[in-house]
Amino acid sequence: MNSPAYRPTRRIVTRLAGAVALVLAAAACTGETRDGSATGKITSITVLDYYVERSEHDQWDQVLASCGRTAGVKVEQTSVPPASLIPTVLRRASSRTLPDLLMLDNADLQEIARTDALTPLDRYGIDTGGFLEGILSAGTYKGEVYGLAPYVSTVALFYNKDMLAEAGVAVPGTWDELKAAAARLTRPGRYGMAVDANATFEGTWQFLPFLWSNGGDEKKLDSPQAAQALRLWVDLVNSGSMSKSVLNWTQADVHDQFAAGRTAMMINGPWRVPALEADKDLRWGVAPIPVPRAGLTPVAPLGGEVWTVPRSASKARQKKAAEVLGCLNSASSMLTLAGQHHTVPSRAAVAARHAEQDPSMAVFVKGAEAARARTRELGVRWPKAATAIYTAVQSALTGRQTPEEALRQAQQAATRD
Amino acid sequence: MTDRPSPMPWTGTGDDAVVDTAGPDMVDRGVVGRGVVGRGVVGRGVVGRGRASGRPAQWGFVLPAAAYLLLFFGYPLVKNVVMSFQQYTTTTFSTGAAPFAGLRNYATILTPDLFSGALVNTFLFTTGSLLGQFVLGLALALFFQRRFPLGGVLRSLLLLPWLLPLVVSGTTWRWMLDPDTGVVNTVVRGLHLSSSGVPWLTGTPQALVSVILVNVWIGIPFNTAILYGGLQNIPPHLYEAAKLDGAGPVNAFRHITWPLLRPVVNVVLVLGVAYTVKSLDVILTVTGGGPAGSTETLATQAYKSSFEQFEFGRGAVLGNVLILVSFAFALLYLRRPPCPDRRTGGRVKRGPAGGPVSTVIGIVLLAVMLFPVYWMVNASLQPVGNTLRGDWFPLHPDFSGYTIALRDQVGALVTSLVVALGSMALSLGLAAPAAHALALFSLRGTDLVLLGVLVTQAVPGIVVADALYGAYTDLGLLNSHAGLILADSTAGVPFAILILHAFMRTIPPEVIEAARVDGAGRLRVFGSVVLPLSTNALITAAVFTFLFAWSDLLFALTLTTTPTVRPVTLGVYQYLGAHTDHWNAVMATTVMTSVPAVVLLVIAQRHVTAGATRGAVR
Repeated sequence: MNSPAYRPTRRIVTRLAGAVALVLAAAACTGETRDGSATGKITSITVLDYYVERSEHDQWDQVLASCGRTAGVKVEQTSVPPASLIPTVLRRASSRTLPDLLMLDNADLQEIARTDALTPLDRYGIDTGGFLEGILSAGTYKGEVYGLAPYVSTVALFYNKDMLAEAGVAVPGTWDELKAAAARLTRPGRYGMAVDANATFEGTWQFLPFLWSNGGDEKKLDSPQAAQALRLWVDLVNSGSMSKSVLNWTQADVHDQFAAGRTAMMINGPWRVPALEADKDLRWGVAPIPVPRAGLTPVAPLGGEVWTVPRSASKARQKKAAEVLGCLNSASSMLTLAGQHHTVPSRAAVAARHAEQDPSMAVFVKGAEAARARTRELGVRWPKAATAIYTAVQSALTGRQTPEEALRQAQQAATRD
Repeated sequence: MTDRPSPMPWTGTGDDAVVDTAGPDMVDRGVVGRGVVGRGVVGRGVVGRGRASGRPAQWGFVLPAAAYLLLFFGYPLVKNVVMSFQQYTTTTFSTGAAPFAGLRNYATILTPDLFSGALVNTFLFTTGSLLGQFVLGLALALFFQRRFPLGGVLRSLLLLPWLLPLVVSGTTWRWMLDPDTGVVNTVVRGLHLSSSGVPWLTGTPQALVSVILVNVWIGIPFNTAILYGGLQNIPPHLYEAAKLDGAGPVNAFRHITWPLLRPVVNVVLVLGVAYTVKSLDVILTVTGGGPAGSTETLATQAYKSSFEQFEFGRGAVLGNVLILVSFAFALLYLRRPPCPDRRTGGRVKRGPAGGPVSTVIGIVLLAVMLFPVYWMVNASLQPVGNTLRGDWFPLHPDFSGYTIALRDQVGALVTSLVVALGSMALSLGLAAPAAHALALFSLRGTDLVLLGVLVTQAVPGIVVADALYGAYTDLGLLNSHAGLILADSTAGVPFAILILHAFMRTIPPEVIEAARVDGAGRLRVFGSVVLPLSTNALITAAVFTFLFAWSDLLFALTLTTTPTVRPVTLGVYQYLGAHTDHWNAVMATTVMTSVPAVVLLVIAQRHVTAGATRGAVR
């Protein structure tokens, strides 16, 4: 028998004890409450949003901090990727760890309000007058306003002026022009067109202008109009004008492709403009999203994030959060934010002032004001339809199903309980 | 709980082809086999024999570990069944209202289109992974059986892919497999295999192939290690005899190697199935289940149902199916014929000789296997913005990625360290006394406890997470170090019990009897005799339990909701979802996350080998 060596135990025991002590010490640290109990003075509030990109995050950080100063609190901002915001919110709602101030995409508000996680804003005396109808209704659930957005936005077609000029292609206005232009702009190492077709609500959001402009409807996904819209995307991928990677790209990835010169056109929102402007070598333009046939008006989805005050044990914290929310939706914040993100202030009167200041944003101003809220027809059932839509898009783009089959299944999924 | 197999450490330090594997020995000796249940455990119990009055005290050694296993495996199994009949909503955890739903969850999940996709994918992923891992693992094991310069070192380095946290491997591969900019397609195009490249992550059959490939890469070292150990146990005189009879290498393999390796093969495959079926980290990081759900498996669907859609009832149904599949294989494993005892005349010390040519081949093989690790380091040293393409060599290393990674992740690294050390301490603290009692007291029920420990290996992590989420919400353990330490130890505790038990059984009864005669109490025997004797096994268990907790992604993902307690694996994972123009920072974080694995490999050279071999050699 091969006996193991005799070793002093003591050293091991000491090491283990040391490790245990370290752990206990660390665990004890986390037990502390961070700040102001229900009775004490509130010195800081927590904020959750999806502005993960550094420049965007920093801009929001400044605005939040400045509104925090007005309310007399420090603002601790946390950002999670867009696709994981809703799962995070649901989990934090269930474990009662929601932040004091919460940002939501306007299309998700009703779903979250339904879970009883949010508080109606009228109890804080916040002025909800003068907001654009679309965004106000998106922030309303069962007759009460739960969320307000400082600005609204929508998506449009961005194009690389140099590439279009070099290929001798005009800015496409119709689907046929889009297909032809994308094909002519495609080169080795470069695609003509890029969209976000990933399996998240963002993918659905980018598909909607094509669906809606063709007369499609989220209540009837198995219509020929819907199939034609999806067919357009499938054709773009199958012809090689659009990378198959659109299946995985986020809107931010699409932007990167465009900025790096790997795609000549893309669908994206005005909040990308600051990053595009920072690149001096890039000459780009914006146009409305192409429509099925000349003469039709594009219908784009209404973007814009609403701010909400979640339910919490501390009335004092809620009050502070509401003060910050009110400040974010004040005319001056709206102008600042809209200027930073190239979006449209969500109060009609402020929007008019903004348009005078920045006429170059005409495409987005017109688009956003005419934009259609995603929850307008389905309300709390929208997330189900949105899931069905991106599932169908993925299924069709990978070639697993024809657009018709994919959308027939989507309709079943969207209407199933 | 990790998705990877428990390690059976193998590493050679020198070139003298020391037989340094614990794998097959543990198998023979019943660490992982039915031997535990069927063989002579009873009768080794010297210390406690015939002392009926000492029984309660003896059980005191086992009780904490048993209680832990019941709470963290038994409870989730039961809870999961209950949850599958309930309707969960987002308000359930705050109001406690989860009404009885009858079979509704089952009816929703068990439909052809929702269910068969995931089931078929799980089947393909599992069989594909196992086939690839096994065939390539066996080929490498046969190759490394030769003795050649640097053979031992190369064999040790081969372990690296398997020691890396899965989220690190997944992230690296995801970037390498990018259809437009990844290095794999650069090679494919360069060799003119396809002008447009392969849609690794965007094609529907291809994405599944990709996750299988990644999983094969991760699993090869484990298979090689165990099979290599099995090969070492085959007496060379059989080959010599066969040679005299005129048998060629093919016949020698068919008639000697394969039949004698069969028991080890069984173990590798059955364990492989149990671990692959519940695998989650790899798919989540490489494809996230897409595109078009083409890489969605039972495990990923269970995770998404519960933690993304908040349908815990449906997640529980999927979890139950997963348990059934895992346990079916575990049963198969426990019912297989016992391994023949083949320890014929001592250990084999020599493999067939190979020359420097073998060394060259070995280096090439290793270079291929370790290329992703190189690529990760290379990417981390590229300047910002350049990395989406990536140059072949970091000719102008840029450390800005590390600056960013350190700024963003230093807190996460500390959290990981605290959690991993805590889990290591907890695992050893629970496992050492239990292993001591199970190995050295003849307690009735020992077999049952060991069987229970084995069964835990087949419990999917997502099932544990499902149940713990609710419990932690009520107990306030979400977002706490303590909560993560407890959950992460679900991997460490069973493993440490098995390793320590296997070792402690080899302690000569005379040593302990002598101590008892000298008047040492039970605690004193444990503390002053058994523990010092088990130093190497303790260190083995310590390093691996540390690594398990360090590598955990699932519990970090499910049992934290705020960024207050965020391990670094979660930091890496969140980079993936967040758009980033700092790929070098992401890769720098993965490099930093890999450091413990590399350190472990270095330690493994010295201690783990010693612990494992001493534990194995009787």
